[in-house]
Amino acid sequence: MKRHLNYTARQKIPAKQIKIDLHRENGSLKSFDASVNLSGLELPFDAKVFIEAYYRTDRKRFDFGTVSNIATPESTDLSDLGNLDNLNFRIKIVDQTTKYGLILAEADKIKPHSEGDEEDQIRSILATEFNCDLGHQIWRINYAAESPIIEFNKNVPNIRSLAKTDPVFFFHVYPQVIREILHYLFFVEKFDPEDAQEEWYKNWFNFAKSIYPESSPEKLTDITPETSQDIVDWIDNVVNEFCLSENRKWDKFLKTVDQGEPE
Amino acid sequence: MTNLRVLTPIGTKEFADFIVNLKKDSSISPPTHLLEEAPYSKQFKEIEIEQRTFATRLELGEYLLNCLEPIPRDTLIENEGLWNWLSLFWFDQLVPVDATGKRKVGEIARYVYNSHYRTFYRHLVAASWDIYSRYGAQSKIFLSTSLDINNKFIRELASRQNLISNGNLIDVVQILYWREDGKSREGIKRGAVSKKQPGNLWRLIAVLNQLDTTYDLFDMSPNDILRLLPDEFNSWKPDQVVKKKSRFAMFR
Repeated sequence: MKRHLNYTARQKIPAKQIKIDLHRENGSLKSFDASVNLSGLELPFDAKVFIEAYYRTDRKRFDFGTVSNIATPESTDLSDLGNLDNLNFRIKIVDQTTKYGLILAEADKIKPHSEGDEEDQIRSILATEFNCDLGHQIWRINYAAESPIIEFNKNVPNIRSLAKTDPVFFFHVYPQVIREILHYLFFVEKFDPEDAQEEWYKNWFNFAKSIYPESSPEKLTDITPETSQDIVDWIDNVVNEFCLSENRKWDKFLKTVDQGEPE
Repeated sequence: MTNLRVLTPIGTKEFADFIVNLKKDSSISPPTHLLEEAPYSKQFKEIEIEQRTFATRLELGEYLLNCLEPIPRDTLIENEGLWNWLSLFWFDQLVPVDATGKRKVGEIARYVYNSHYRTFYRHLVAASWDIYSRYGAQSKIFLSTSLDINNKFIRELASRQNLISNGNLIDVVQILYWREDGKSREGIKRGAVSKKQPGNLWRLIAVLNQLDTTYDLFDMSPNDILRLLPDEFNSWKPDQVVKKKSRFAMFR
């Protein structure tokens, strides 16, 4: 078992107490706002609050004031960073009264919410990338990063708007996305709910369970043909429930399809 | 001079197939027609690229930074079609022909861009641009090799996001392991990547990872970070950072 030593009693800021909102101008990501709730943590009032946006070699730090006075800086410009659609954020609370700034609390790998986004739960665990040349494919899932990314073909006109608001696109794509990722999780990554190796495994499993909690797979040390079928059936139920829960979108879907039917 | 283009998915597949085949038969010629012909490649930007020889990856990085300067970083960083087109464009320098007339081909990710976070930095062209664009002359320790080489500093540091994105740590790496004393030829110090040597690169990575969870290294000066390093690194530090022990002691 992996052991973690924490001699300086560093605290973890719960992810649910942080919200990062991205702002776009003409479709391009430009800046962000953050709300950080530090209640429940024991922190000195004058400790500094830093938020970092990062992706691979890029990292940009923003000074958000102190624990007692969290304030958004004048500029939170992100436009000089790479791969803006997949930025992660980390928050550090630092005691600068010590000789070397001591980290008192931290939260890492925070995924931002998008402006006007209604599907917070899905988007927070599924990163998007709109700058891909996918030939004649409209979308695909890329598992090469730290968590799954849905890539959209940039050559499809209005792809960003289709992906976010079009009900036809929604019902053609997202149920299949959920099905594919859950299949990948169980049958490629051999995910065991009792021994999750990666953060995204747990996130996706919890997301699926929140949709269809009944008879969810539990300890899976050996996947047999019988347990495999159980998992496939459970995933099917998750996808079915996901679709059923989107009543308003379904009505829009039917209306759109009906209007577009050739005479 | 040639206008900058990108390989399309079909062109990238052809290029990747060529690399696979080149591993089996090192005498086949690069498919340079992909560079100019549709549907294998298409125009990217009205930027001219020169077929020139680079002595080091540092020169390549600097050249690309200047050429690509008008394009937003977000459009470049994961543009696999661009990096693959440039790989093919300078292929003779990335996989040079040796004295026997053969090419020694490395792993595919060195030539065909793979966005996986553990492999993206292996691309010889993309990583030269990425690291140089972040650190300029401070990227010497990574990029002072010929174009066909990924040295151990790139391989070990570039995949560790907390380290490669912290300019102060890159300065520390440079101070410890880069020889630039004006007396001898500049370069990586002997023993820096020897696992038998105390205070080698792998030990530094292990120590920095520990310190990074406790201290705010991003806001700390390189000299302060150097002072936090244990004694095993003293022989690598510049004299002014190491507190010399007095030859005299009150008690023994």
